[in-house]
Amino acid sequence: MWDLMFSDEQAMIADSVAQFLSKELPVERLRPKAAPVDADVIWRSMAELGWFGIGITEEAGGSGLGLVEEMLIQRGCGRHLASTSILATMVAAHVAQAAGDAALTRALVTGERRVALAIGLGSAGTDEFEALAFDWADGELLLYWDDTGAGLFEAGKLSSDAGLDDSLTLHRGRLSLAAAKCWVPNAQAPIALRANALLAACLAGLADGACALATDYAKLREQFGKPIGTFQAIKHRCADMIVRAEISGHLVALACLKVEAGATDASLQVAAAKLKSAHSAHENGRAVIQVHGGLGYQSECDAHWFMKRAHVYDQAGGNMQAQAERVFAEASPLW
Amino acid sequence: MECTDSPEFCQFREEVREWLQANRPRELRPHNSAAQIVYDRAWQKAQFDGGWAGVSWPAQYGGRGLSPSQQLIWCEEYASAHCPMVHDSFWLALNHAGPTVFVRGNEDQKSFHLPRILKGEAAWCQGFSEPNAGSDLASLRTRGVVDGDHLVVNGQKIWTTMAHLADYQELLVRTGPELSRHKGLTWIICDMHLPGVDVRPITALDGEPHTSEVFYEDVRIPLSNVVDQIDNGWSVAMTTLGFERGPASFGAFCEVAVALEELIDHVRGLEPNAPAALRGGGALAGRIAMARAEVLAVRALVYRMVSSAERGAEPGPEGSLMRLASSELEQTVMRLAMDVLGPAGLSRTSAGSWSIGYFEAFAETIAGGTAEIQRNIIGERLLGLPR
Repeated sequence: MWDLMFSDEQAMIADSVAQFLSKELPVERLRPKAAPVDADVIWRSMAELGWFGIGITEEAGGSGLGLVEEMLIQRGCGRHLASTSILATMVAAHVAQAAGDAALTRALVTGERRVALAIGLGSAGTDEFEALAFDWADGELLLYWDDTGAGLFEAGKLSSDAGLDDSLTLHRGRLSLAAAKCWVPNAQAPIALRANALLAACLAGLADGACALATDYAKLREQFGKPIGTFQAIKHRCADMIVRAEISGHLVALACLKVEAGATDASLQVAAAKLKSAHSAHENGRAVIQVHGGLGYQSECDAHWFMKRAHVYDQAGGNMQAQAERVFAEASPLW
Repeated sequence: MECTDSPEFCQFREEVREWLQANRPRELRPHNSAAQIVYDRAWQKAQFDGGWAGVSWPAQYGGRGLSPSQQLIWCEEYASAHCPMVHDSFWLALNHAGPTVFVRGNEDQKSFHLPRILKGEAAWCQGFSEPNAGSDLASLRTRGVVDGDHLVVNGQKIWTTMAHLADYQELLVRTGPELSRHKGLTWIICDMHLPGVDVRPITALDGEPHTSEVFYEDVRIPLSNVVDQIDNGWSVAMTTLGFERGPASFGAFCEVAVALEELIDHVRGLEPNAPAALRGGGALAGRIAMARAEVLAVRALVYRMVSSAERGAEPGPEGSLMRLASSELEQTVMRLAMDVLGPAGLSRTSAGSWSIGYFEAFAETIAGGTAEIQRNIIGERLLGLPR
């Protein structure tokens, strides 16, 4: 039957993820004058917490849990604007496992190797194409996926670029499908579906984080002698934000369950989850800036990061336009 | 967390589907009021005789006593089978008048009213809104004065849905001092056939008399009809609205989900002559995709609410979230249908049930607390924003 309530274990995971990220990766770390965080130390802590292998079988070095638990982590990562390499490494472990590379799977699960997220530009999916890579460091593999499959690539030499979302570093280079280190076709394992479900989780997390930031500010900021949250113009905007964040979150959870169950409508559910969550993240990203007024336009305010990151997660794994075409084309999802 | 169709639920779904297919009315609901109430009563009676009356009601009150998940399956199959629209003259009695009576009423009230509702003998309406008390419900002024063992009611209600077809009313009156607001209200069961009750139907924007003005002139209602206590009506009214804003929305939501799929089938039927906007990647196709994603998202919220209810949780302010999301979605889908129909939508004959659905959707963000009131509730009770 349907049960969309978290189990006790899942609730504990969600709590521990939230606690860890609030302490180690508060959104305020991105402010211009904030003290830098040590990304490598945090990466090792995440590995010790078992994040990268949470959905990988125990024989392969993981925790043997599933996509729902990975989703809980990614929702937190979206909410805290964490590195896209966490998602890429988590998904890469599935690619390595499906490709039969036990040593690489283990190195990814233990956090010893990091993988960066790659998004194709223009003629993506053709034999050789230009790609953007996020938060990549020399020597790291790239994860790329599309409708046909998912694979890992040696990056070679990438050039630096200026990103729209400057909380992530941006690089560009060329990928060749023929030169993939490993490539897992969708028919073999639905890794692209998993990856898109996790991007949808990041987007739902962003929508949620933007709502929380806007609501907190609406309670504190006073104009006309009272908190601006008393005014319906603000209150209703915040109410719309929570509606979008909540229903997106539930849809993402349902999509993950469908993928895990191998349901016939899994592909529709994931496309709908990514489409709806991207819409929610964009709308909430815009709203959180507006609620902050003049401050919302400034780099020192945390609001703009939600707007910027929404574009990254939206464009990865097929953007809203691509997801909409899939949702439109799929068979009826009714009971 | 899980989402699998267990054999018991599949079997239950099959049972519901077969019964609805065999027993649903084949003719459409008639247009004139006198014929409508006959039709609604007959359909409710048929559900009662088949053992399907009051699917959400506990068995002790004569209901089917289905679990929350089974109720949802009922709603889904009901919508798919093209049964009469859930918003008929028994909807209110089944979804909030009856439930309010069994949660807040006394034994006499339960044993008298509940079977009558289930058997299709008594339709109900809601007497809350007044000309000067809409969103500000606590300012209502219809007076109730105790005289012996009666409450004597004078005043006026408005926008009373189905008043012209109803036998009873959830009537909220002021029994306390004029400015007592929430503290001086009483929730009483009003027999619509009592002397002094004057129902004057109002023509809605679709040309149908959905709502009425109701005037009360020295209407003597037995005090035994008071639900809970004199002056405690606000809390009873919140129980009523809690039902109205929560699971009661599931039936209408399932109808919207089915309607959107029919719209998509219609679009597919147009190929290959469909206008570019309706083909993959076209502007209307994009809106259809977004609406489908929204339907799936609200459906996930419904599953979540059902999961929570299965664990015994009482419906809370998230009912406002459901109400807001599903009512706005209904408008989105119906508006989309009009755009898909194009010029054919200008003819009520060509548009068929789409124009009915399009018009009725405008009421959805107003009835049971406007979308603005739902946003206030969400802002204040879910987000903790100051009043």
